[in-house]
Amino acid sequence: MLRIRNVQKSFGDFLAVKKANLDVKKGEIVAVIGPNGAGKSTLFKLISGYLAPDNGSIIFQDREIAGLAPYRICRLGLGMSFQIVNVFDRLTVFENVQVSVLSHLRRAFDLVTPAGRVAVEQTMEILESVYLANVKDRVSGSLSHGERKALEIAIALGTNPELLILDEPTAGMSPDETFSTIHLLEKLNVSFGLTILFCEHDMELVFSFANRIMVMQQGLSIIQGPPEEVRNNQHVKEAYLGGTR
Amino acid sequence: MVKILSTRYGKSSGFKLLLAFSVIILILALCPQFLPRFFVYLLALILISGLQATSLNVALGYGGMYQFHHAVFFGIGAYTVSIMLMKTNLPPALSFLAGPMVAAMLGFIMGLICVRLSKLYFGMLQLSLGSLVWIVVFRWYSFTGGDDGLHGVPVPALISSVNGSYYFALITSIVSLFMMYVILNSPFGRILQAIRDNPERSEGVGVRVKLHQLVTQVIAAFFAGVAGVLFVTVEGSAFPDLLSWTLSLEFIIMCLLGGWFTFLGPMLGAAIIVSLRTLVGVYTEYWTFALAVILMLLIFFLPEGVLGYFQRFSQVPDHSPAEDK
Repeated sequence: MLRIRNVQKSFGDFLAVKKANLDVKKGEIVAVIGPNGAGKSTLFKLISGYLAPDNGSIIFQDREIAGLAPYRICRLGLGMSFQIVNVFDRLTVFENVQVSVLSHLRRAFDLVTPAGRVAVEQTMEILESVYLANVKDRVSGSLSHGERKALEIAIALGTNPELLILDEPTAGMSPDETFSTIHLLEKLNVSFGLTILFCEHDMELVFSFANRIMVMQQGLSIIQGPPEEVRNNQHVKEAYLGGTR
Repeated sequence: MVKILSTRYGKSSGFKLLLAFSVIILILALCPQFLPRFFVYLLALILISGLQATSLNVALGYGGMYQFHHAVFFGIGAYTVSIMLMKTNLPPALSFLAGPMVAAMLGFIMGLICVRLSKLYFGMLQLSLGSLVWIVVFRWYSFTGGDDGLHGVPVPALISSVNGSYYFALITSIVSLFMMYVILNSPFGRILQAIRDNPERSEGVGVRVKLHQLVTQVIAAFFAGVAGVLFVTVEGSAFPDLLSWTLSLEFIIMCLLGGWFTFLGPMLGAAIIVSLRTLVGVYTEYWTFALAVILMLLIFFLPEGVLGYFQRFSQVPDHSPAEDK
């Protein structure tokens, strides 16, 4: 579904992503791990179109997407949820998700239908799945951090993606919120066949949740494989897990 | 009433809104029956300024675009109708339609250049392009009358009297406001507000941000052109000051004063500014001094404008991030 080969990105003299390779097959849950500054977020931004790679290829659904605008990539079925909460602050929770559904339904240039009557069911369905239906009328700027993270994911779901990219989906969440988020993602993966690519600092969570793991270090992807293989890889132990596992 | 007026889109109860509007429209329609001519004229000016400020707010408050030179579209609307009425024998109705159309076209051309940039850079570029248009109007004596402007525009008799022009302004403003309300309340309007809050994220959910902003520019310019045409029917003239950036600033202040995140805020702001200008003008010619004081008070005490202030009290659980700042 997603194939990344030799992707490179630099900012001035700094090489953020040196040589990244990654494969994601349909229906998988793939995690990218690595220390701070390993280039995980940059890689995700390259995939979703917020940055254009200097070199390399990114193939999504048999199509080269490197350098395409984010809206084009989104329309191909790739949804992105950000590490830093990135929602529409003045809109209500409902409106936040509705915007994404409206865009997916190609209603952006509908100038006459009252928005209150469009895409209500789809939006409510998503809000219920992320347990935000009870706060749907609140302005999103007033939500707690955990709720905003959940909303972040809900917005990404609004575009009905086939591949969902999550940059640290549970960062800053309480244990309860983390549990329900992971539960939700598992449900989306199992019931709807949603493919998930995520990065996360919580190793416990990564090893229990992901089907396959890719390890990044200083902009290089050093290994990609099932959790057990990655856990036992000597290079990974030295480079990242510090030999503690 | 304040609660109804300050209601945001999407949350408003349609019936209450309709009722409030009907009462206001009825009162406005009856005004010429009991108000002296001067006040009817003043009301017409308020309606026109309010319409202009509302059209500005489509781009500014709802679209988050730094629309620094919106008066250009107002002035072009006014000049187009004046020139066509004075220099051609085309049916007046066509001239009246041409005003907003030409303004929209200018909005499209300027928008095409400006939407490539964002925030302050957008605003500065618009200011520069607008000033270019202004200087052309100011200097092209043979066509626009130069700094003298165009006076004695032959407005059709039916709408040239004080009452006639008032009713024309009233009906056109209501229809235009209604159209803008529908647009802002549509999926287009909702996505526009999302772009205002977070253009990057909007693009990430599949929105063509620049195209959306360009269409917004055209819509805002169109309704500014309508306001410009109405100005000519009331005043019978067009002059370069209508395209000046100081007038643009005044419209921005109307939006900020009334409440730029509310639909009727700009209209309220226009009512306050136009009334105060007239009132202060009786005592002193230094109206801009009063304007400066208003602006300072506004920044310190009502950062979300008058309607925004009342909204805070009328919608209990609803608090916006700006209030935290």
